[in-house]
Amino acid sequence: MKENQIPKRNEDIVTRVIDGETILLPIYRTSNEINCIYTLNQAASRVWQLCDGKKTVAEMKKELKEEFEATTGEIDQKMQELFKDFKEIKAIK
Amino acid sequence: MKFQLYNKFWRRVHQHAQSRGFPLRVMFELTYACNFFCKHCYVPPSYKEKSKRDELSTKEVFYVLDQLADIGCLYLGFTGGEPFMRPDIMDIFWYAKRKGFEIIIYTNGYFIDQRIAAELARLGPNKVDITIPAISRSAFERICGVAGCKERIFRAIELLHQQKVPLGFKSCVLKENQDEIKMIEEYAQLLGIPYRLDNILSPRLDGSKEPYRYRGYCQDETYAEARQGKTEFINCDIKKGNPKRISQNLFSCGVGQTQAAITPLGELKMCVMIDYPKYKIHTEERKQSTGNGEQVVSLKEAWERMKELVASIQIDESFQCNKCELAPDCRWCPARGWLESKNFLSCDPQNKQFAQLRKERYELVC
Repeated sequence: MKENQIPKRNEDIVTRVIDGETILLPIYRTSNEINCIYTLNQAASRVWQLCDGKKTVAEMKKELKEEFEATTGEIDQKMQELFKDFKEIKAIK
Repeated sequence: MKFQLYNKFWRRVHQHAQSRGFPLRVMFELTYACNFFCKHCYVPPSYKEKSKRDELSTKEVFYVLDQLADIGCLYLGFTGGEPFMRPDIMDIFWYAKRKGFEIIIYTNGYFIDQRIAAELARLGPNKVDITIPAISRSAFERICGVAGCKERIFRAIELLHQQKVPLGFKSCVLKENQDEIKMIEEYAQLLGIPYRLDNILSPRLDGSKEPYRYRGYCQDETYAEARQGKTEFINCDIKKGNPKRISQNLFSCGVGQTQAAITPLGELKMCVMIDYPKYKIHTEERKQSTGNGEQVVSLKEAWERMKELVASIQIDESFQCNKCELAPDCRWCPARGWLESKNFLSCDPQNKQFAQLRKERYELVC
């Protein structure tokens, strides 16, 4: 995603935190997807929270840089991987 | 992001729930009302009247679901009675789905027409579990007491199957269907649908043993168990036994550790088969106490009380399983003890009899 883009969570994906673990539950699933589940680690969970439809990718990166001990390059790479995954399951618009 | 297969995720989250003690799995009885009149049913007829008067409103069900989500429940089984007797049933399913529950629906299938089947396909439950009491029309109607029910249910199955809704079938062995169990199993196999045989009938929740009068006997049932994918059971239990279940954890099913049940009247209880104790839980309309002075607590508090109670049940001399040679082959559980003699520890003669039979059969197989 480009720096000025504003990712927004798909409202048809429900987020649950079960015993500290974030999971994504698509409301609409095909029969092939019934046996799969998406779980997020701490950093991915934070990115997911930041996809609020208000912040740009650049603003998200800035916040993550302050919160996690990682280089800009590492954050950038992880975010792009994550956005790709999110898009694959139609979790963000 | 990790994309995980369900089984792996389930094992891990179940271990968390066990160590932390939260109700990961809950059975929610939405109503005791039912359009069928099965004589072997464990719900006493008087409960159906009670349900009409006092069952939770839609808003109250939502309120309970909110509380369930807050305390970590993920897997919800919606059952009854017959859940589709409630006119608001699809609203409840959708609400649960939007709260992020994984849901299983237990139904007789009678009310599932083309419109509902299509909606269930959109809803995407993890499973719709349908009871198939018989294959022949005459046995089906004798068991359920409703004319034309067989055609309606097989049509419902066809519609759901066409829509690729994940299905499960189950039956219990009755005098009326004992000669048809194999046919039901073959029907399930033909459609590629998992089939479960409940070979034990339960007394009613009020203690009546009337259902036992309808118990059948199926020559094939222990072999059917093996065919239903319980080969692991044969290998592990026959060869090694299962002493852990017997000596260390009375409620091996997870009652009071990871699972519980909720009645149509909004009470938390151990499981659908154990009707005592019941903790009346808060709903928006019911904050402090009911009209008759019963104490009302939050779902969280009810859960903590139940956990404490389960943990306090001590094994005493009435517990025979740790001395019984049939224990590794026995499906006894504290609910059976409770239903038999109002003692969580007592033996259940029906299960014991089946354990004996199972042992003999498995010894032949192995």
